Amino acid sequence: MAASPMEQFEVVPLIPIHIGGFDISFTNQALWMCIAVVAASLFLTLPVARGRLVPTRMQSMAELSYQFVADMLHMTSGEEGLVFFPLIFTVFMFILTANFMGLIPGSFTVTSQIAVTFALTALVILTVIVSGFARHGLRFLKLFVLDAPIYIAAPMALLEFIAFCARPISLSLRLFANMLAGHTMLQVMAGFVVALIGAGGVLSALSIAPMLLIIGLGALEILVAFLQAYVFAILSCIYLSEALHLHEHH
Amino acid sequence: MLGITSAMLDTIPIASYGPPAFAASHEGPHRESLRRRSSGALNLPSPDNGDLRDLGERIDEVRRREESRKLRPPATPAGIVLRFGTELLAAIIAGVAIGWGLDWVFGTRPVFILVMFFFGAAAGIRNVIALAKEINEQAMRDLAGKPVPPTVADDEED
Repeated sequence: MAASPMEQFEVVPLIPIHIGGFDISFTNQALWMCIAVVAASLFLTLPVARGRLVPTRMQSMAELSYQFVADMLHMTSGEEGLVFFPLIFTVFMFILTANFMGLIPGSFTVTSQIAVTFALTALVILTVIVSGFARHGLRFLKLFVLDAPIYIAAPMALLEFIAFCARPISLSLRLFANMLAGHTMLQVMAGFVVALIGAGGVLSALSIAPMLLIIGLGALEILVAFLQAYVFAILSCIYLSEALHLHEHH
Repeated sequence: MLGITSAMLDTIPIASYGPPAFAASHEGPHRESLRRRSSGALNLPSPDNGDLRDLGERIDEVRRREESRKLRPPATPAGIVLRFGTELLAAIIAGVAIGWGLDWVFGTRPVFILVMFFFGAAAGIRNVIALAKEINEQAMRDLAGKPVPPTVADDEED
């Protein structure tokens, strides 16, 4: 019963598929990603389908999340940035749903897999690079050039380039680490409860302490689930905005 | 925690303060055409349109900058620690990865990894410094924004 706290992150193939030496099995991770996509789509479409003038609670939640992301994007990258609304909204809703569903006991947290978070980040950063070059051509490279004498600008350009490459890594690492740490902590605390009850006597009475901690941590995890989706989305917006406006804002 | 959530809720209803073009797109084309017609009917001596648009764009620009700064994620202590860590680590990983790639291309195994490791570390430290500066500024602004209990009676200040 008291399993390893890392067991919850194990990717298990449900339907083994091997094509041409590649393992593309349908795993529990793939299953939960599908569930997240379906849940997010239903959450956004079903309540709005009726389209009442005075919204029901669910409708206003769906509309609020739309408005929230639209405002965020507009504030960070202005009018032109709204082209990226579908991307940012999709990514935000997917991460938010996946994070929240990961909190359901017995579910699988897709965002605690670095492969998933990095794929999402790669999507955003590739959009930044492609749109940056499409919009500014080679002038996009000015992102790395400082307004300074050449002997300072040259090494700084290298630093800026590394910093730029570090962005997708830190973006994916942050989401992944937050989810991993939170869920591991919950599992460890739950393990304490089981162990203390198993010990019997006075010790089993003590099991109430980690139990209370789990409640607190659970609440914190709900906050983190939202916050990390928000952080991911807003940083994506800021990076996209930089690609659109280059150095204007400095 | 309560402060954080209320701060997040504050960011939700900003729409109504947004730049006019954005607000108009939400109201639909009907309202927009109505407004245009009514302003034409008044036939006011309008100021130079280019100037006005220029001013509007500058206001939008400033507002965007301010709002985006305000929209930065609210900080929890553990979140700040994690941000510093990932920022430094990510830059080092990026540096080493680039070095690895260059070594692979030129077949000079340890040279570029070593050099780029230090450049990565430098970039990471630069990122951390920038982040620390940003967090400090945020904290100062939060401090300045808080209502300070007046020590002097109001009428004496005027």
